[in-house]
Amino acid sequence: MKTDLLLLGKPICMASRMRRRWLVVMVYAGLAAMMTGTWFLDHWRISGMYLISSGFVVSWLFLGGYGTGGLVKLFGERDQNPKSMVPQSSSPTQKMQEGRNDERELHQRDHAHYQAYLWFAATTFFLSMYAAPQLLGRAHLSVDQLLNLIHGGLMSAAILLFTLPQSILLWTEPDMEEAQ
Amino acid sequence: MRAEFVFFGKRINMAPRARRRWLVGFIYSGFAALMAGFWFVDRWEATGVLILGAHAVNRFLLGGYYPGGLIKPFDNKEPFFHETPHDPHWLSLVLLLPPSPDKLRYRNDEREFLQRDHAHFIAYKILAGTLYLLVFLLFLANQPAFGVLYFPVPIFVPFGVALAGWFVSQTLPQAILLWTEPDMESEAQSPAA
Repeated sequence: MKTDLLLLGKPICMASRMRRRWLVVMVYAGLAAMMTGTWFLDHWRISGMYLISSGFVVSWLFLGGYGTGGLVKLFGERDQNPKSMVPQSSSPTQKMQEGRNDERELHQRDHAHYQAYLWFAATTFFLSMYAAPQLLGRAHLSVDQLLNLIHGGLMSAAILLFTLPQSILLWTEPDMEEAQ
Repeated sequence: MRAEFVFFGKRINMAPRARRRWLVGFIYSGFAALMAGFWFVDRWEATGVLILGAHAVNRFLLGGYYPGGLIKPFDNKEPFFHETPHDPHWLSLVLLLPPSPDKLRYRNDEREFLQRDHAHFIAYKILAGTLYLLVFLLFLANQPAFGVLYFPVPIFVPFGVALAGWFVSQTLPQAILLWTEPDMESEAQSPAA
């Protein structure tokens, strides 16, 4: 994980866990506000496209993991192949420049995905419950209303999917040493 | 991972990888057949609940999220006391089945924890990508503004997707583990057994 967040060319120190937690809270509060605002704007008819992409954008700019920017290093680096578990970079500086994960970071990444997966599985259960057509009669909803609900739920799930593992990492990692 | 499981009192050797791959293929094709069959019955209106129950394959075959099956419990917790050989499950008593000795070996070692986490990482990527694509297509299909792909999505389509998503999310990490783990020593040959 990186200690500095590069925002508009300016490095912001995020070594302290408190700051990282604030960042996570602000990201989700912003996304929730955007979802609410765009609902009133056009019921996500056009803005849904932007909402679906917002998970990527947030990863790209702030969180990292699934985007090259942000605090968490790219998840896809040097996985799958057991040989790749052996660090190839000779010095820590060189490794940092390459943005690759060391073995500890790979384990952290996998564990964060395990935790996020449990939430994801619970979400699919919840979605399958409220996407049930029987709900139409019981909750006195029209088909359009139910489809709107389902779209909202699926969009929230898609946004969460691309941000949750990074948020777990940022939330749980203890205070780090500041970059010299 | 266990090299065998107890199915209705009978021990089945699953040490060779080919057998485990057959099991995975069998489970997913069975699920696909179930979904297709129930679609013709009532379009999952009443039978959807039965599909939700299909993840019970974890209890007997796959394990992971349940104490039974081939994969040890992911949470590393001791099974409920009534499922140990000392105090068997009431169903085992009714059906005169011997208690499962595999419930005793539930602790994962460090390597198994790493495998578990990595399997979840792969499963997460697969499911996240699939769901993302589906959400995108559903969105396009429902928007007349994007004319080309527009078609009215029937109400049961998202329901079917969610049902399938639930089943796959409950079984995919275990399936990945069973699929990728190489041939093991069978427990009859193992000196520990």
